[in-house]
Amino acid sequence: MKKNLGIFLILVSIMLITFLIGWLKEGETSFLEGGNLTVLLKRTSLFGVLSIGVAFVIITGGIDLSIGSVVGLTGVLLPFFITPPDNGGMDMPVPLALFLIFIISLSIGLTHGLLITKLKLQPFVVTLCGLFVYRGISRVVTKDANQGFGIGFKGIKSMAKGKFQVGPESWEFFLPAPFLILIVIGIIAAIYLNLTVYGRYLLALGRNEIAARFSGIKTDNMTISAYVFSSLLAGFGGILWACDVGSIQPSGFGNFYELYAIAGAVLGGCSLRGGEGTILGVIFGSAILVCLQNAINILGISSQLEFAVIGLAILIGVIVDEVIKRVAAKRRAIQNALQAKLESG
Amino acid sequence: MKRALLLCAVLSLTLSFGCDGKKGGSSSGDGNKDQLTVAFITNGPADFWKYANAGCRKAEKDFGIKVEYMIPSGGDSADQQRLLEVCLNKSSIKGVAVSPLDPDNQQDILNEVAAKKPVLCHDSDAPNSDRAFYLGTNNYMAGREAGKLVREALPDGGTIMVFVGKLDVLNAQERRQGVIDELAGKPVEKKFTIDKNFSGEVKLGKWTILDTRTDQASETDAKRNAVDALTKYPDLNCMVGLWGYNPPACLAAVKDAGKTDQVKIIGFDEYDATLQAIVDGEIYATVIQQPFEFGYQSVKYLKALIEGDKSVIPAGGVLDIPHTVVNKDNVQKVWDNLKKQKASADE
Amino acid sequence: MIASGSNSNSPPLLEARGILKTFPGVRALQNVDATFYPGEVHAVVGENGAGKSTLMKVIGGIHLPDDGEVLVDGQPEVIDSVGRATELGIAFIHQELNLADNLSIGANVFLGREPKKAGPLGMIDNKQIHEETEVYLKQLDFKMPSTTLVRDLSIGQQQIVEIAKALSQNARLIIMDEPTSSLTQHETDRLFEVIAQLKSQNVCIAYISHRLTELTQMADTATVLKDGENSGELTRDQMTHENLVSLMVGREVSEFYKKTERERGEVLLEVEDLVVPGQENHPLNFEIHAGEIVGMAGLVGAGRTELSRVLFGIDQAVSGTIKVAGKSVSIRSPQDAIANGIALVPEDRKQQGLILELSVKDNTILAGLDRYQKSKFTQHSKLREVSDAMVDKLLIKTPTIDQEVQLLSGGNQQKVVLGKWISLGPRILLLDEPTRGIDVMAKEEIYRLMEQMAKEGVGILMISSEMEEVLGMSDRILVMHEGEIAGNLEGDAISEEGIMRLATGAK
Repeated sequence: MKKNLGIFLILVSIMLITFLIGWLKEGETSFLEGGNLTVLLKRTSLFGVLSIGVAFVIITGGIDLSIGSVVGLTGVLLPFFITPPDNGGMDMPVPLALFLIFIISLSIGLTHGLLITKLKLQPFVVTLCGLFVYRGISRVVTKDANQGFGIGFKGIKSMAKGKFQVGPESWEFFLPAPFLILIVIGIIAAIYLNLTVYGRYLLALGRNEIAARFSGIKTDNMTISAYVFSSLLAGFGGILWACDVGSIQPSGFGNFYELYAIAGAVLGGCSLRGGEGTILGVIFGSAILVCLQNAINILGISSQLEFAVIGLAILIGVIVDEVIKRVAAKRRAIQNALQAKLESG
Repeated sequence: MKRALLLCAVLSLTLSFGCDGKKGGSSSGDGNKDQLTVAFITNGPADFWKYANAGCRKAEKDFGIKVEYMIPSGGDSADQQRLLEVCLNKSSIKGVAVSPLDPDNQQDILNEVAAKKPVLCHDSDAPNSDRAFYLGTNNYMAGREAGKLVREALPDGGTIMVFVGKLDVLNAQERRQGVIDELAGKPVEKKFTIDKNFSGEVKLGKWTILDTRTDQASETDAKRNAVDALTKYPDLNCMVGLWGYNPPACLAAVKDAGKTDQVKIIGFDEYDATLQAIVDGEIYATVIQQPFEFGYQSVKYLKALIEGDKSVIPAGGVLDIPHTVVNKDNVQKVWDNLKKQKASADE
Repeated sequence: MIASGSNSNSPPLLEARGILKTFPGVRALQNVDATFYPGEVHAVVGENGAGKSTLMKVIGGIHLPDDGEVLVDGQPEVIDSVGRATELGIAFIHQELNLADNLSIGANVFLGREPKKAGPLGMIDNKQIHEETEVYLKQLDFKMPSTTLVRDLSIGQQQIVEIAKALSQNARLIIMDEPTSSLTQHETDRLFEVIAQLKSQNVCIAYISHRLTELTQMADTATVLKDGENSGELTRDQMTHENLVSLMVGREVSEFYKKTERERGEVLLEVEDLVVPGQENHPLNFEIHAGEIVGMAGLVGAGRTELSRVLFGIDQAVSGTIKVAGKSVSIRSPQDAIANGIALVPEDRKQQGLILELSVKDNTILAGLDRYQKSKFTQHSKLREVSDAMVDKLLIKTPTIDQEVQLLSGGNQQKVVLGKWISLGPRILLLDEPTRGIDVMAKEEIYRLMEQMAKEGVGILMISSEMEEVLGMSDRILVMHEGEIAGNLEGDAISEEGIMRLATGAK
């Protein structure tokens, strides 16, 4: 938690600042009211699932640019599989559809991992090609027709739309189902990363692959597993997003989500050089992005400025982070020098 | 800890900079906390919406209302849903006008918002949702108008090709059907049926629609379709472009083939290239919607609904914002007016 | 350091017999024998390319020999993986340390062999890791707690962690490849203490080093290789500088440093009250004359490299003046330095000196490209001419000037770096560790070149941590200590003790 205290404070302050600006300028208090907080939690969870996935890849020193397209593909496939034929669908039973999507996501991750470890292709290139290919497949399969569930399929939709009331009714605050899903995934991921040997192998190989290999670790398998996690979570995220939005444009659904996911992971303390990152930090990182996006609309800032504000905020965050790290490193160096002096008498 | 504080300071600066930088066409909020606020949501960042924005700005002044003009930057339903969720929870927004991207599949969120505040659809309707009503152009009627223009341009009959982006989009189907029904001389009825057999020849008395070609919303494909059509049917008399970019694409193909005198082009929407070609006499005419009115009327009716005046809801839940025909006679006037609107949106 | 003498009455721990190893186009090892006994420091010596690293990699399970056998405890073994080597008690500490510096000491020591808690999840037992690691650290008299992150340790401390890791694997043979190459004097002493202690625990250390002085101090036995073959074995009593070198190159060491009489010319470089970043309290003053080789001695971290960076314009001086040939100049970038006739051969040739993937030619002409252009177009024939001239002058051994630099030996790479600067005709040549990690032959050629340049009137400042080199080559020696120039030794005042006294800050 100590590591994540900084990012947590940033998150809280963004929320407070947004609230204060809104309140003082226009008497608008809804940012911190139940309804909006519920939406924030839900969106954080939807992005968080993707960010956790990509965090594993980033920890190995790689990158996954295909996430948005995988979200698009599974998001398109779910309604395509389960809706009736007059809707352009295949009328498949839901469990079968979910199973197929699981297999597809798994194969995507496996393919990435094998190409990267066995053929030694660069992760950037492999997943960039994935970004194009999966987007193309989504569009071909659906012939570019919008996919959706209409008003039916309440059951599966509740995965994203379900919510549980917390506190008195007047608060209008609910725990959205995706948040519970995020917590479960987050806990599993955190245990895996911090408490099992596999997590430690990922951290070790991300920083020094040779050291890991010379320690007898099957680094290729570990790297492949990271890409599989990323694609699986992206595939699952695609299902959640599809259930939440209910309307999926094959050409646009999930566009840029890989960049949001990567930005969330980096804000949350993952180093693109590998070997660093915490699950909690990544979740906070996603929350910051979601809050910024929401703040822009709540404060009535022009939609045209949206990307610029988010980009600047992340850039500033990363710059400040880097500066602080350098100061800390300098301080450590001085301490080490002092220590060495003491030892040498 | 120090890092967090520093970042906060910078962030608050960024955000407050953003707040002041409202020139980009959001609200003209003069800080009056009691001012009524409504939201106007487009279906993407297209040029078309600038005219609607101008309408919103004018309505702001006329009715003393504040309008939050929101664009789903990514142009997809997920983005639009995010904006609808903001409208749902932001208490100062009292009413919402939206152009749903995927009406059938967005009913859940539309109903959710409609349960809390008045919602009306503009440009594109979601008839099965709980929206109060729809205002926009009747695309079938616009199609019939285009049909009339074809009759006018080819009084002795002739061959026609129809071009459009996608035929699974409702407005494309309605426009096409309007053209067909008008040429067939059917009487105008409230209920019309759409012939879902889109490909192949349609014989309509003196006139023959040879084929309908789609380009999946790609402008390069649009031009290729037009070129191919001229190759296949060298004696073609008329091209009808149903989506805004189609008429300029047709014109380019016709010009390349040197057949500007032989082929009459009739189009939709108000692309600058289309208007210029009407001035130059290369395109016969175009049928345009009135996006300025979408903005202006949306705000006007939302205000009434918020104030509890249900009587404004039109019968049948549809308010037609009539289309206009732009031809050689009025093109200069219409164009000047559009330019003025665009400029006022950019202020 | 007192060596206890080789333990040759106990049976050998590991024997390599008749090892043959070829790589495409190269015969790396031919019929090589080596026998390692428990409790000895066994030096493996040879010029670069003599095959010592290959031999160690065969023993460490990184390469399989093409022929010959390896016996461990008298049993023939196939060591086909690092894992197998570990099982046999062989640990390899590489020159570039193999630690994940984002993890703790304990996590590194047990990397790949983590003890797990009971239960199906296979969770790591961190408590056990740190407890056991502390035991090994204590054994090595290492004071940092096991939970410290490796990135917070100095290079010397990280080496101790590698040794702890080897111990935790019950290593009986620890291979150390150039362990002292980036250690400070203090850390080196500390390492030798640890090695002595390992010896007393009957561990065998296979020790690869270019620093012959170290070997004469502490090696019990030495296997000397030359061109992939055994060239000789030395026991403790035979372990002298001369014997080592003559086995390595087949020549007497006295030929090594050939200082000639040279004319000392006018002052070329003058530094007045120069303050280098990070050493704000120590203004520096010195001068270098034409035709003079000035050695700069001091411990690692004394501020010598920092000074060279400022003189070459990579870093900015805080204050002070630099004068070249009597004129005060402003050096704010390497371009300024080059324009003033200053050249720097940096300490790390692979990172700072060369672009490894480019050819000999492209590296040689890199710094002077703008001189070989005609109305903005590069003159290719001129480039080849310059590059050919440098290959001839410096005796760079390369099949063609289009050979990728990374395929050359360390010594020839260093000559390419030198060629790059010499081709510009500098007046002042700054050399930072010019012979680090290169073989004896190449060293000698570089020394000869320095002599020649000095004779031609170039002023040379040579930063070096190798005492013999400083003593053998310098006309004058500046000794730095913690950012200050602690002394300027000349003529009879030059002595090893004198330098060490100044370098360690003794009064």
